[in-house]
Amino acid sequence: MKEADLVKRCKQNDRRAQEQLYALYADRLYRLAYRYIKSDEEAEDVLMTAFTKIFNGIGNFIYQGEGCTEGWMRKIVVNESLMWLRRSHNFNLTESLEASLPEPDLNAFSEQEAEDIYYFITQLPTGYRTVFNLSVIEGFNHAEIAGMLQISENTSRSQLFKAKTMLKKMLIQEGYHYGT
Amino acid sequence: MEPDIQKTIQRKVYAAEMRPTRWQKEKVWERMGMKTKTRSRKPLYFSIAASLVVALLAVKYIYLGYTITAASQEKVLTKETGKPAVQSIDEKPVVAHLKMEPVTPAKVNTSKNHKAVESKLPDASPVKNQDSVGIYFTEVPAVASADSIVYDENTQVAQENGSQRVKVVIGIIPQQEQPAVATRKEKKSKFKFFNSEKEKFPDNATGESKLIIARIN
Repeated sequence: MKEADLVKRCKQNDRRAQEQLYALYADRLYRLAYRYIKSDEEAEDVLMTAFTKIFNGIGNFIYQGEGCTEGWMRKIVVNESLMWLRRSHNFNLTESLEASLPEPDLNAFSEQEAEDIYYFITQLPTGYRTVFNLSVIEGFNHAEIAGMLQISENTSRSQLFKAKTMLKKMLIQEGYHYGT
Repeated sequence: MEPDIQKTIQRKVYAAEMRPTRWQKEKVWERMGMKTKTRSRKPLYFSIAASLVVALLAVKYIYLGYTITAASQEKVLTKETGKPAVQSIDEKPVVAHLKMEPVTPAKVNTSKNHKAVESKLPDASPVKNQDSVGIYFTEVPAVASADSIVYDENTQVAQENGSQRVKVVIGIIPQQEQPAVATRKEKKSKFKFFNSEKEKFPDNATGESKLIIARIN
């Protein structure tokens, strides 16, 4: 079944279509939630809430072409993950950043295997991980991240800088040599 | 961070997320099914229909007024006049057209036949048609025949200009027949919750009736 038909039937509260949509996207959306939350049970809860919202809100969703459904669902899962994180973590507890420090190079990091990159990201502390995910993977700027996490832009920049520094250290610990 | 590096990382992360992983996919779906079970819309439709009916009824009563039925008209008349719209048998009937006419009380006549009564009436001019005349007795004597009719001062005879006379009394309505004034039919119900007034005091219980209706020719 095509994505457009699936969405149309989901709008009509077709239970089979909803199950098909879940079967099609649940795995990748679970891994998306896990990348933010880093807990199996909590990621499942977040995903359940997100899918409930997806099925309730699909009536208002306007289908605009292949791939837009996944993008819309990813946004819902990210929002649900952030809501969970805001309840359980204080993003403001971070030290200020020295502006003179050079930005870490992630060229070597990007050359890693996909699964390794995913794994390294999930090993970051919550604050670093959240800002790294929002900035590097989802593509939000610092003003947007600050609004989402209710922090200042400087805090967002600081968190991202530290996340990159930590990833570089992780690669060194894994035996990867930077430079000469 | 250079845009190319960022895009590479993005693409690799998305690719990693596309790979299946081991998690409780079926359980989550079952839990979600319990939570988001599609509710039937029937109760919603019924409640909408019911509220529409109530709204329409409200609009009808507010803007179009009450539907005039016998019961509602009776209520309105009772409110306006302060008297019950349907007179009970015990009350004197209100005959409006008789009130408008000049009434001359007749003398007390005693006759053995009604022809003698006619000759004693003031004028023998042609009889004017009238619908009915109410004749009241303080005490109703046992009337065996027309010869024994007794006119007393309470008997009223309608006249116009003294030239027309009204011929009174052809016969007597037996008590079993219902008078034309009280025509309201009592509602018969399968379940009797209360005893009606009629059951408590049937017509023949007292053995007396104050009203006799006589037709005027």
